[in-house]
Amino acid sequence: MKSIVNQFAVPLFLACATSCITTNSDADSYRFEVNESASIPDGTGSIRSIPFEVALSGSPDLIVTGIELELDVLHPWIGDLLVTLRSPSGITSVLLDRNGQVPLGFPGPFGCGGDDISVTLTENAATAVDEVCSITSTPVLVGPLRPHQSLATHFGSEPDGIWFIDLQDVQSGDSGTFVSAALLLEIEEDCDGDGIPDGCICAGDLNDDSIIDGSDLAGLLSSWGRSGGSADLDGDGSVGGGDLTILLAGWGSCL
Amino acid sequence: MNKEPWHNRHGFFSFLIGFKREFKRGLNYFNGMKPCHSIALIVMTSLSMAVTAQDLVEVKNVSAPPSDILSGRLRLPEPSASPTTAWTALLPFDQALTRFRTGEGKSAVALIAEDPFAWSFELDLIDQSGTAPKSAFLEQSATLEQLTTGASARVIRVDPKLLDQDVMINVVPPSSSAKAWMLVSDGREDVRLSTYVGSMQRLRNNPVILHAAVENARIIDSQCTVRGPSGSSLSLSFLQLDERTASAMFTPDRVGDWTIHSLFSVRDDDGGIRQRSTQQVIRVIDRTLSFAPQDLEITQSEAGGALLLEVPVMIQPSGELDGIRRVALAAEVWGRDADGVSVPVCWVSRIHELSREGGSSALELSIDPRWLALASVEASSLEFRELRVHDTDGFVLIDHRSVARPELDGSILIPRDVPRATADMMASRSDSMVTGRSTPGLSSVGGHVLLLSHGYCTDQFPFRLSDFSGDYELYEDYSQNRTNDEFALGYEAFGRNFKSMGIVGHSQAGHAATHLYTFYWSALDWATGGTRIQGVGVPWLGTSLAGNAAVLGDIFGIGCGVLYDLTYDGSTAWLSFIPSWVRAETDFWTTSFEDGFFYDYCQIITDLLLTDPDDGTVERYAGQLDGGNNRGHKEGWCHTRLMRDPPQCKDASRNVILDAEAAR
Repeated sequence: MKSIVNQFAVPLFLACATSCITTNSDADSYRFEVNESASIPDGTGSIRSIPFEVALSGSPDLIVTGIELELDVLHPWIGDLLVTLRSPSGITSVLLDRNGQVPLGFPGPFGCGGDDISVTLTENAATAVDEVCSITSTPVLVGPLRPHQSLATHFGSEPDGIWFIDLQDVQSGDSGTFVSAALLLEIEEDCDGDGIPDGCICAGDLNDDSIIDGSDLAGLLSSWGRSGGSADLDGDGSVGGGDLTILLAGWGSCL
Repeated sequence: MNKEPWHNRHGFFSFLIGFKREFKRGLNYFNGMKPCHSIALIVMTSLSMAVTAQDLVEVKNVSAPPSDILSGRLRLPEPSASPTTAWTALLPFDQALTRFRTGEGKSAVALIAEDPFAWSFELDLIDQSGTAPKSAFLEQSATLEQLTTGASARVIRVDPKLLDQDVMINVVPPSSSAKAWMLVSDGREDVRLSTYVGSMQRLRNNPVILHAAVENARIIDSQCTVRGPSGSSLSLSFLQLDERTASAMFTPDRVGDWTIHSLFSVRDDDGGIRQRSTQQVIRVIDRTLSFAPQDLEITQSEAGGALLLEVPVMIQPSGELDGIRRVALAAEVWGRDADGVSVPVCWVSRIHELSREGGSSALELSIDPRWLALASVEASSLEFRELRVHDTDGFVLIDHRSVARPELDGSILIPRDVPRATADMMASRSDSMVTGRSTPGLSSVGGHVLLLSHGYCTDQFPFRLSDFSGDYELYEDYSQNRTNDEFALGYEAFGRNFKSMGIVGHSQAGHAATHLYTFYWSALDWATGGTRIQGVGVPWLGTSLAGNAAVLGDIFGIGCGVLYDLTYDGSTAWLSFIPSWVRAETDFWTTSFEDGFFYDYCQIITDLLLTDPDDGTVERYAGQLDGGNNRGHKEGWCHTRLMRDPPQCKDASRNVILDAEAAR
């Protein structure tokens, strides 16, 4: 059971960001949008924070397993911008860092002077934001792009709470406006609290080689009748028939 | 020496913001700092924030559409297309004819000497009565700051109403060792001497052939004096080819600027004997590289990506005293369409910095495959024409190949469905760097500015600043002799302090701005909201004053030295690298003297060396940039101060337009 407490949210089926999640049908996706434009203080370095309140009630054991961020900003010199995603637990990832700012060569020491951003920041994009700058294209950042820092740093964290996009304009002279953003979270359960989605756990893969085969069966049989341990797959305190049933049910590749 | 800082800030950005940025830049550049040996750095000691670094500059992959090939704009012009032409004679006083017959044009004689008033100098009219009316002549003095710093002139003008009169020139030197030159204008402007050097390739120990032709007269006598960079001179004889043409040859044995003074005595169609002379300067270079015999090679690093053309070259090692050596490489790209017809694809160019070590190497050119798609040609049909490499110092031709066919290395993927050429096809990143100039430290940085710039060798800022109300900066690099390339790199370094800049430039500054925009990535590329480059009084096609100043400078001294880039040859060679898309973003304005009923001029001496109308430095025709935006010609304004009409950069009505229409 899931509830979404921001302005509105739409479950999506996003491409997953980890190999485990790629085949995990247990992941649910949520979209949180902010559509109220806001000015970004010019050149002061002051932060314009855009909040996304996330409250997925019903389970305390949800973790983030995928993130995308759609961002629309009007700004005549995007190289002024420092944009950071901040999770409720305080984890931050820098999405844009004065794009194109290089001491030598193009675009120049003041970064990319292109206009506007209309981008989907995703780990799956082939091109990173730092690789893009154009004098002639508007918006200069458009389509799917990889952020400056990986969004995977948020994977495994709890989704509930207030997420922020922090926008800073660090060079005076050109001012911009935040237009809209959408935070797309992919959520899964993590009942054992190990930071790995439960759906990723491959019960019966005792030797962690991502395949349940004779080696795992041998391991289970060698522990037969003993109490606890990794072979106690059903958690009843001893290795027995119930555990064997689980192992055989998952026979084959975990992926 | 002007004590003003190299540049003054007139924007609104606060000192604090500038400090933050400068501090950060200082950290960034710390590792790249070089010993303080540049002029700019010396001047910057007056600045509060002297954070400097000699940085690298990224060159552009330059392209131009096939229309630029077909129009001939990007083809090296034949030297005969830009001759030096004269209707006067500038010569040592003791070689001048003592009399001349006046024509319909401007008749005047100037005595040029260290102290001309120490000389006895007068004209006499030889009329039927044997006496000349006082009103026949008007004497005045003239400065020669555009030509030489070591002499001034006395000029005696002849009443233009006195046609077909014989005038006697009487000159007596103050001592037997005194030296003076005379500039004689006999009013027969239709009797002209034109000279040009037969090849744009002027290499040490290679013969230089000088061609001469006279109009409306026949050659009686001719001589040529050539002076090398060491100061040694040699006299040449012209070989007369027919009544009106002659040639001479010499072999320069040193690298540097060579002045050529060609003096002809001719008989006009009425039987009168007249003298004509041209003054030229040519730059002689070493063959720093040559195209190697190996085939050119084309590769494509990624499917659909840019084609990389590698041109094998053999680079001469740099001498111990040689500085940074840069060359500009260019080629026309041609291919065959589906019908087998040879069609132009694009033109490509890039500046390269040569290694000091020399040896076998390859210079690269980049070709956007979309050009091939637009021309409907396959890569296998490509050939390169007019492959040429020039020294960026004066744009002297180093080597040339008419046609070269490449070998393809691997398969080449050409994109389909390319509807039209786009701006990003004209210039792209090369990731190739050349050595730039020191970054000036400013007390305030950032923002979008208009760069106002003076031209060659001036000690005062030309524009009236009160006419400019927008954000602007002054580029102040007084009393310098910079090649277009050096000048442009100065702009680039200056521009690193700003997000973007447009440029309004006087005289050579127009060359420098277009050079920067063509070849290097800089803040100029980011300028928006108006005209990127605006030039006032720019000698796009060169000026004869460069050659005249070189010849007179040999005799009397020259303040800033010879600037070959501004000769007719140097300018036209350079201009053959400036594509239409750069010209289209350049506005230009010309002026000339107020043309009344009498003897009009901006500067009485240079007026006799230039073709009317002129602004005292730039002839109107030479101030035209083919493909640029001609914003008009205005009379009553001259090139600089100390001319008869006010200086063109003080024209408030134009300045407010420059200010309002500038990109920033």
